[in-house]
Amino acid sequence: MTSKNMPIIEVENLVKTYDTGVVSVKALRNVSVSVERGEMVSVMGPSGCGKTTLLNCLSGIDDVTDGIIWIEGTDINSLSDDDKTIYRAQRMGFIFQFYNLLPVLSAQENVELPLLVSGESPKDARERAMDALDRVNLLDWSSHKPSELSGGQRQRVTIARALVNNPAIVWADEPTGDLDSKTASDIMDLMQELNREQQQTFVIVTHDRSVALRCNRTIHMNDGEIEREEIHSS
Amino acid sequence: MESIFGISLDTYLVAVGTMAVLIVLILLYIAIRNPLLVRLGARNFARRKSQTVLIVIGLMLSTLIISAALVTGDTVGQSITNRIYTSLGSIDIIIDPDEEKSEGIRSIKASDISVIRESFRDDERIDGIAALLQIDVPAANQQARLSDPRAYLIGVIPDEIRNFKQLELLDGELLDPEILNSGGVVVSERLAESINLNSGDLVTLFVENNPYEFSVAAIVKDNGLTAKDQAGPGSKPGGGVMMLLDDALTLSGWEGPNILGISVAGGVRNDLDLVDTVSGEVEELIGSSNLSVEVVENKKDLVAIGSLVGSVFVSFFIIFGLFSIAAGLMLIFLTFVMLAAERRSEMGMARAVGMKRLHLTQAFIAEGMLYNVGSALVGAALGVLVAWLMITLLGFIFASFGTEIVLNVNPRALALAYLVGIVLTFVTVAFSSWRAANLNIVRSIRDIPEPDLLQSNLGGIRELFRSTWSVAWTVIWSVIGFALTIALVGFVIPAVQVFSIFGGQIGAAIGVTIGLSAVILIVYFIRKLFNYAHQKLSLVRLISRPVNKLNIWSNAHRSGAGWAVWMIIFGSLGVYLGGWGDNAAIPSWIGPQLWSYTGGTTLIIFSLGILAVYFGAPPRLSFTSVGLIVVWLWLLPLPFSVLPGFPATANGWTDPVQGLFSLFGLGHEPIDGNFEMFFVSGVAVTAASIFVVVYNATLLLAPLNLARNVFKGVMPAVRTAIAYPLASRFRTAMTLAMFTLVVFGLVVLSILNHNFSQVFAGEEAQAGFDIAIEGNPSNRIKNIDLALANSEFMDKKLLGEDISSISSLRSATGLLTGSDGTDTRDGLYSIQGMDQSFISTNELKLLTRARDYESDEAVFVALAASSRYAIIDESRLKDGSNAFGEPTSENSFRIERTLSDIDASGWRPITVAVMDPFTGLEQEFEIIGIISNTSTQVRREWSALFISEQSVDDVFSGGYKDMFYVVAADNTDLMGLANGIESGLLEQGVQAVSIRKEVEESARQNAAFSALFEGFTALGLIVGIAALGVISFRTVAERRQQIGMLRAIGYRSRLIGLSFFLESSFIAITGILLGLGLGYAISYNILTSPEFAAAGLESNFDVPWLRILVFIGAAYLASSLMTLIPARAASRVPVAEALRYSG
Repeated sequence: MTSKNMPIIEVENLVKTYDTGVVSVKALRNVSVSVERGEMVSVMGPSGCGKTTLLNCLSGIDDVTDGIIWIEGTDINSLSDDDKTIYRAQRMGFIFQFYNLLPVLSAQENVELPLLVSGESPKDARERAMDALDRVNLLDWSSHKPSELSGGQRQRVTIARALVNNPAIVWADEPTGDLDSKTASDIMDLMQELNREQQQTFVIVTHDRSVALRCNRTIHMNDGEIEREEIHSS
Repeated sequence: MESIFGISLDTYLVAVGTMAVLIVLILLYIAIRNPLLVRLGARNFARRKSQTVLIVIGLMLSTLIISAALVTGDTVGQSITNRIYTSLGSIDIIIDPDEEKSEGIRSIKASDISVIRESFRDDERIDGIAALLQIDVPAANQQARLSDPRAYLIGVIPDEIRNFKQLELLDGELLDPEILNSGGVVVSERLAESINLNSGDLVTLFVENNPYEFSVAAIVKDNGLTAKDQAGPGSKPGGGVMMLLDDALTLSGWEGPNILGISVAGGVRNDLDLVDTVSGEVEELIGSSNLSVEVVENKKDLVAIGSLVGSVFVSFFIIFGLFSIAAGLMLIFLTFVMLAAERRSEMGMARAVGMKRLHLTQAFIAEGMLYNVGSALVGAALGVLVAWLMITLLGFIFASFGTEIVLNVNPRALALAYLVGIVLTFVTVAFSSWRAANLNIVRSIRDIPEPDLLQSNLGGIRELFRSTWSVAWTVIWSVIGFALTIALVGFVIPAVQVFSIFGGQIGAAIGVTIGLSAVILIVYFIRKLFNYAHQKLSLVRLISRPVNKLNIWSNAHRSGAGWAVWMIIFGSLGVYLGGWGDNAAIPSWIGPQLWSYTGGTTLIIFSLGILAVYFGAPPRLSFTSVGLIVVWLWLLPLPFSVLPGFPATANGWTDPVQGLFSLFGLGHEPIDGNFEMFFVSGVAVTAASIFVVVYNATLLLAPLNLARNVFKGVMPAVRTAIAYPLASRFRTAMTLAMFTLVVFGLVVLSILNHNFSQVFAGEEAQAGFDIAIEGNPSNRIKNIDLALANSEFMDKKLLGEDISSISSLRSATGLLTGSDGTDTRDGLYSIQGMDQSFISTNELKLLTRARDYESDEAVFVALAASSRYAIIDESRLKDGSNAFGEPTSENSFRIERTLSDIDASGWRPITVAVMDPFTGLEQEFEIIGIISNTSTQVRREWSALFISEQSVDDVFSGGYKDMFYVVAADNTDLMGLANGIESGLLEQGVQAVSIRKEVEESARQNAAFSALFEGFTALGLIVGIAALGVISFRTVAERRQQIGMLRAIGYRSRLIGLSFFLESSFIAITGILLGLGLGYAISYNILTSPEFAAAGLESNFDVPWLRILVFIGAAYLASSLMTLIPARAASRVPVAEALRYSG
């Protein structure tokens, strides 16, 4: 179904409405966008403009009210919840602002999780997790629990977890939002490097202009709509 | 029921009521001073309804258990008391001939009766004194061909019983006893129904094997005067035939009346204190006038027994409920620990913006008490429902004793249960609130884990000293605070006294309220005064400043190691006072002997573990070691006792401290323990084994990892399911403890009940016989074979086919005197004279035999060969008890040695002189065997000294009664044969029963009691189940964001649900297995201990697996269902929403 020339993400007239029963809020209004394979795209905009909602809808963790989302040529909304979950486990990686690591597991065990749910044997999962941690320079910290790591280290564990499955797309929601500027820069270096080496597509929601500038393109949103797009030369 | 554990119900009520009032005042203070804190609590209460329901269930359980125990005890006490009133009627004091003084005369001397009558003549406190003759005689309705061997004859003087007002016709009208002068007899309702008699019919009485006919003048209701009470469980009570005393004496050949009944003024339910006073005066008169009679019963004592039985039930149920109450309190504590953890960050914030620790504590207390007030009420009400269920079951047991049980809800008991529930919960809530509020602001806001108190310092010996003094300072302050509180509460007492003019409880309530208000005002003014003085007076500042400094210093240096040092000091004190001291006299505040001894040892071991960690030892190694040592200590003599070659030496090592010290010639006397050890051992082994499990769960779960390929699909769920409980050790340990404790209690109870029932209501209780025939003292049978063969009513076919043999015993009561005064205690006891058939046929089990007798058979061969020998039952040993578990009476014969003394190196025959107290005839015997309790549990007449029939004839002139025992042919209808024998010997008035049926009935009663106690203990499982529910609901809320992340990275919804389910199952199954293993081990130790060795429990040790599996299976199923709901909720968490969730 997918062809090399097709955009990896294609969205047409995406609408997302939150209905609380008292008020109805339109978070996304007829959003149409496409992202090419291997592209690094950032989404920017003021608070409440719908950036995270767009990311959630695109990654299939939230339902849409209207519109079509094609991911690698598949209409993601036509999949059942289980199929969407499997798809996420095998083809997507996630990086969150507050890391969202399981505090009770070690760094290595956290990284193993996506592999285990994809049916990888525990032995292979362990080896690949160690490789992933090695790629983010955390091999020596593999047995430590998140509470024993710094913010930057935690985010690197999250990146290792996002990439361990060799996903086609990595979704990152404010990946540097909880970090100081130096650490944030290191993290962006790492993500750029991985993007270059492995040709994985990155969609990054951010408030930080310096993060956006490191991407190929920035989508500016306002009030649930795409206001404009900006191509970066770097 | 007026008292529990020997303390009056009113005392409890005043004590708990005072505390409850204090609690209400504290809450009012919080509500008035800080209404916002109460509102905070109230909102949390309403916010999460399902969780609130679970918390309420957990909180109410303690109240429910106490309420159920009190209502059940009250009902039993009340029912027994009612029966006593009904059976005694207006007779309040019963006087019988004193066997030791009556010089061979069975009846009361006329001169004695005159002395008593004269002393109380014209005494307004006395309604009447009646001389009565009451003897067993069989009765028959010849016309209807119906007979009743249980009937009895009552001889009365009409004028004497008139004031008793106990002749009541069936329509309720009072009958004048004068009717007896018309020549007829009055028959009681029970006998009239039994042999179908009506007024005007003829009733035949058989005395000395001769029939006598009388006309029935009237039928009256059964009561203490007109009918006989039930002899024992399962027996049918007899009805009476009343006639003039002179006629009864002529008929029976007795010299005079055998009972003197006194009715104290006031009717049936009169003033019991007056009864007691009069009874005391009668006893004084008997003593001063040297009369040959004794007061055998007085109504006050009997009513007190009813009340005592009620409080025994309460004590039993409360002890069995202790595990559940402990589990319930742990649940309350755990709930608040979890609530605190959930709100840690917001509490840190509140502290940062200016809230004091006290405010946080108050907010938690307010919230806890909102749950508490309602849940205690629900608990008290549900307790009545549980009591009703238990009473329904008890009703069946008591019915076989002739007592009807009717639910009786005493408002005082209910109020007590409610107040105890409130107070217990408040104390737990207050403690957990104080603990929760004791937080570090920065760590709370930033959600950084609290430092581990056990290894916080690692500061060496010097810091250990500091820490020890810091703890001492805390303890001193706590003691001063406690003493001040007690002193202040002392203000309440005069207030209660002053307001007692309003009457008992109302006065107490007013007094308590006003007294406590005064206390609060005093505290308020003292504080104001102190603050003023502190500002104005430098002297006060001079004193308070160093105190404050010490407080700050103490807070900085407090650590687990300091507490450990004090635990070692107190533990050593417990060991010394419990068993190592010279006289082992335990102060009441330390507790019973064995408890303090073993508790002290346990405390020391745990403290050593804490100190090891403080000095840098790995926690896992330290706590695993101390946990294992404590488990080993409590499970001794296991494992030695199951290893070949060890049993003989294991006894010396049941106490390892003793074992170790004995190597150096140091030791102490054996230690006594009571029933409380059941609970204490449960708590100790549970705590210790949970330490081991929690610190080693990864090892225990290693096999699961090895089987990872099998569980490939669910491996992610397994991984999170194990990781979470291991990460929250405290929470996991608490929940595990709840399950383990209750399962432990249930398993021990089930195994003990099962094994005791098997032994004590087993075949040994039959002693090889099938039917027991009780002869009638008024119609002695010299030769039963002949009597049966000659009887025209006997079915001769039964004689030929069903009866294999008949043996006999002749009963008497003798005064036994030991040849060595230090070895025996002189006193009266039952004597049974065995015929040769009994000696050769019986299968009585002997507990122990004198040296030179290799087997039970050897003993019986000796008994058959010579009438010099005797055997006696186990209850006569120093540590023996009667069939009701009571120690032997002070006036009865006893061998002053315990089973272990007697068994230690074989024993010489015990010489005893047996004398007939009536005639003074005496003969010596040698006791060569002790009969086991397992043979005397059902046929109580076998609790006796067994000698030869010839000896009873020689010393006791043939005794007063005969007992016969039939061995029936195989497949005989025993009930049919017993009825056939009764009909055949109708004129002799024998009563025949199937011993096998009695044994079965006894087993059934045991089973019903077991079910009752086990069911009651199982209530605690509800706590464990509710705990899992609370935890599961909380964890779903706590981990919402993590669930969102897991879903995002690929966990399918059912994998999330499975993970939660496995997590709960891990706790439930571990708790169940721990409880099962520990309960099994302790039960094995109890049943194979020397105390029960003779009963053969070791070789017959059996576990009621089915019953236990049903209990724990149901518990696991219920806990699974309970966690399914939150697990399902977790699996349905919307992913995007969960990711946004911030707690």
